[in-house]
Amino acid sequence: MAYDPKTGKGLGRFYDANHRAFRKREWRGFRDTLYDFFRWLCLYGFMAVKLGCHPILMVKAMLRYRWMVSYLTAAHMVDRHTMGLRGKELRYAHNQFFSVLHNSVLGVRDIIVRDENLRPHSKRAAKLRENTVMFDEMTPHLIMMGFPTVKWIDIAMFAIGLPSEVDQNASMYYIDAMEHLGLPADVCPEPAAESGCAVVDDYPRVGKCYFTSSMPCDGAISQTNIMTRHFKDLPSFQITPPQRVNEPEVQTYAVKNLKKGIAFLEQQFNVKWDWDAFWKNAEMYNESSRCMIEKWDVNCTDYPQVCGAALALQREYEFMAAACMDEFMLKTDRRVTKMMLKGYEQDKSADANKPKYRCIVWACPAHYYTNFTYWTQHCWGVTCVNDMEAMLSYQPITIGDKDQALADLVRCYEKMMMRSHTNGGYVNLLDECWKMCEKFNVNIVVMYDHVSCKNVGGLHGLFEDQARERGIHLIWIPHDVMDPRTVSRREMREAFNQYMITVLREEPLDPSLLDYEDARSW
Amino acid sequence: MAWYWIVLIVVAALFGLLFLAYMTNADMKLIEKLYDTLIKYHDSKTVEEKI
Amino acid sequence: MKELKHLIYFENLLEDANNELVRKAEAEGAIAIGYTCFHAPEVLLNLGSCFSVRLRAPHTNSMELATYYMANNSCEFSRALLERALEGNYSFLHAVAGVDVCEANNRAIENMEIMHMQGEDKEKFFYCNLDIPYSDDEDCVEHIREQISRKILKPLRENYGVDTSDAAIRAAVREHNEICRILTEIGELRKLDCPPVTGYEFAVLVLVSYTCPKRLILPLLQETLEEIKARQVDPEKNYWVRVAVVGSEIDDPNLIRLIESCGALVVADRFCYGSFPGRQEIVLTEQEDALTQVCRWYLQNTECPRQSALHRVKYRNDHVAQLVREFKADGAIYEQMKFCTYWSYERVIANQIMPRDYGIQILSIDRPYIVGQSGQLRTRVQAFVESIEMKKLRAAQKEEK
Repeated sequence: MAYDPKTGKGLGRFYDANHRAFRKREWRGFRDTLYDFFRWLCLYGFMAVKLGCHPILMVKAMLRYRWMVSYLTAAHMVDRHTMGLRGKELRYAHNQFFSVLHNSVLGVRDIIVRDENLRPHSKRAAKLRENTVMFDEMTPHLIMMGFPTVKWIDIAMFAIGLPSEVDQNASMYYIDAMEHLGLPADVCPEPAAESGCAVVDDYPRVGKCYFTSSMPCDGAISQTNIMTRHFKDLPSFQITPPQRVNEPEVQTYAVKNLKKGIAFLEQQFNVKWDWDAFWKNAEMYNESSRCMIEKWDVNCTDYPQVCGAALALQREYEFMAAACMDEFMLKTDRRVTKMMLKGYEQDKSADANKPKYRCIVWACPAHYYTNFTYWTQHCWGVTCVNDMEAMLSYQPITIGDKDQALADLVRCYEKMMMRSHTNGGYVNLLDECWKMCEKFNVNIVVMYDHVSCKNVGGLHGLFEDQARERGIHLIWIPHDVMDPRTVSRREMREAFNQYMITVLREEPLDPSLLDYEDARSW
Repeated sequence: MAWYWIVLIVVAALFGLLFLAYMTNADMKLIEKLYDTLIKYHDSKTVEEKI
Repeated sequence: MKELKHLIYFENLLEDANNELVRKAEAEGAIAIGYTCFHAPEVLLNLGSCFSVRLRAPHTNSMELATYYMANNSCEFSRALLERALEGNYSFLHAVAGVDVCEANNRAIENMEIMHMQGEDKEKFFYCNLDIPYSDDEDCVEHIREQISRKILKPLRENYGVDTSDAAIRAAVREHNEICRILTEIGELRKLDCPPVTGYEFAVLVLVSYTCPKRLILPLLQETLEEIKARQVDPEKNYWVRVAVVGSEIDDPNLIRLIESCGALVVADRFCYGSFPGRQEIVLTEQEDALTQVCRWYLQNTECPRQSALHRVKYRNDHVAQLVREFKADGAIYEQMKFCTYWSYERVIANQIMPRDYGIQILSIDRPYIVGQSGQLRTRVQAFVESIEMKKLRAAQKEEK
């Protein structure tokens, strides 16, 4: 426990209303502090090795791109997620987050070495770009499983998606840029920010073509209009899988659509789809999915192990950013799975303390408050055993049967993050929520109430009605996905506090976390 | 003094400094200043908003 | 101009979804199929004894219940429909042909389905959610054909014994085309300097063609066409500027009336529930089955901003420019329903592209579902009209010099 009832010192003391950085780091006891320090050294060491060898490019990138500045705060992101953790929980979190940051640092490096905006006259950079495809966010990078010689970079993820999770202030400028052009403020800030970044010309130019999609929602489709305009001098392709993904009949069209995407890439890069590489990558995907399911299975028990953002964010990035093709992430998966199974056995045999409350998180999360579930754990003892966004694609890809493999691949990205539950009809969003409550043995659902989301908002009343019928505590947490000005982190916490105090009649485990100001913080 | 003692002292000093920086969160406090400066620089830029 | 003989009757028909002609048709054994979106091919909802009713929610005041179910950031049109559905206003329907095109509309229909809006005693009632592709190539045509066959034609056949053969589809297309010919002929008259029909009147005519059984409204529309052709127009222009209205769903002709009360004449209606698209003839050949041709036609003629492929965006912009040119409009009013994501972005693009690349002056507005006598809207339109007038005046002065 990070809160000391004798001294009254809790985790809230690290927040400073007037500064972005924490006042200091936590003393977690000798072993855990040394471990955390070692991890801190690893992170900076890795960043120094990979990015430090391009000092001029990094400086140019910081001056050219507003979003690049947010990456300076990577260590703070780790700190706010690991704050209050001890023992194996600390180790799970560090392993999981480091694999995400590992992938991200390499991605940033890949961007700066081939960016036309930073290296307009470099022949080497031009050559690298000739073999790179730029992806939009929420686009099936899995398609690259069959193109081992072609580089791909998700520019929207690196410019908007990631920075918004590292730094809560990252996206506001881009949202405002679109609103200056007349975009109403009620639309989802995520596509607004992605469009805004295009409008102010803040995307890197790192490839010879642009690959986008219609996923996952109306806003993303609309954003495509702006993005393809921005890259109008480059060939582009929009992959458009069907919405009604539960229907087997739609997969015929979906596979045809996928093949068109493959044909586009083959034509652009003068390469052929490589089935050998595909089988290898598919096996990696299958293994990472198995690791994820094992985590879920353990979390169904009385002794959940990898919980909260450590579970959710890692899976999201493994699939969305790395397309399950990152060897380091897979190694981490194997290591964490081993640790997790060992931890579970230890807890079971010792009949360790069970979580006071168990919850699942449902609906679109707030990018600017990724450690919200850690806060619920430390402040109220509510442990998040799974997250809807992490319950993305896990069905295996059939190895050896080409037609079936393509059909499986399509199903994988139809069930990508956000889409897996918001598309395909109400059964995927509404009915599935109650099924997961039963599976994970929870009676609290932290329902992210994204104030600009018309998709989930469209079933708001039915969620209320059906939760009441089932006796499930539905705690609505308002947020505006990438714009903390609409609903701040503090207001999100207050919504949770109100429910815990008035309905569940609980006392906080750490009163210092009840109310504090962190608007300036990253 | 033997060379390995010197190395040990230097490493210990480095370790101590780094640990101090780590515990006091000096790295992020420095980055905060850098971040604010860079954001100020970006705010001062004239940017055209164009579709 | 002398008032049209059937105008008041048409306005009365628009007061209620279950209007006199709908009741008459159902009493004769016809099957009413509700729908909202252009992507649900209207002509296929009018096979045999079926007739389509494009859903509206006239006189909606409060949307409290729908707002509880759909949250207050959902499109007001969808919420209004759900509100009326929960009140039982659509209980006369035998099916709802829904589409999974926009989130709000999709969720509204899902809410209706989950809450059994149709009533407990309707065993044959069916809902469908068509999966509409995002572009218009042949794979998309094949996909939508499969969707429609399975989700609309099959239940019509099995539940209601409707003839869904190729011949039946061609017959429905013929009837549809008759309506379209009448409305197109009336619409063409709007190209004149002093049109014998106002934008408001035309909006009423188009709306009744969407909301009433075709067979029963056809004779009245035919009469109205003859009346308009023979109509004596005022010698002087009774407007200052001509505008095309472009945008999302307008099922309330009072919005057109409001615009026209500010000195503008609405000469072209490029919006959902308007004539572009939706009231153009579908030309079929004998070389291919009618169903495929109909599916292709709807995919290729949609003007929904959901179709985000670059060539489709260009198609929409080019079409607006074409309408402005052909109908001699001085500008375009881009309107959107409040909280519509697609049109929010489309308007932003149009704001930049239309004046810059096409030289078309535009007014860009978002509006609530029930417009009423909105002072704000009126002010915006008046300012737009004045700005066009000033521009014309300056151009005329320049020419004189």
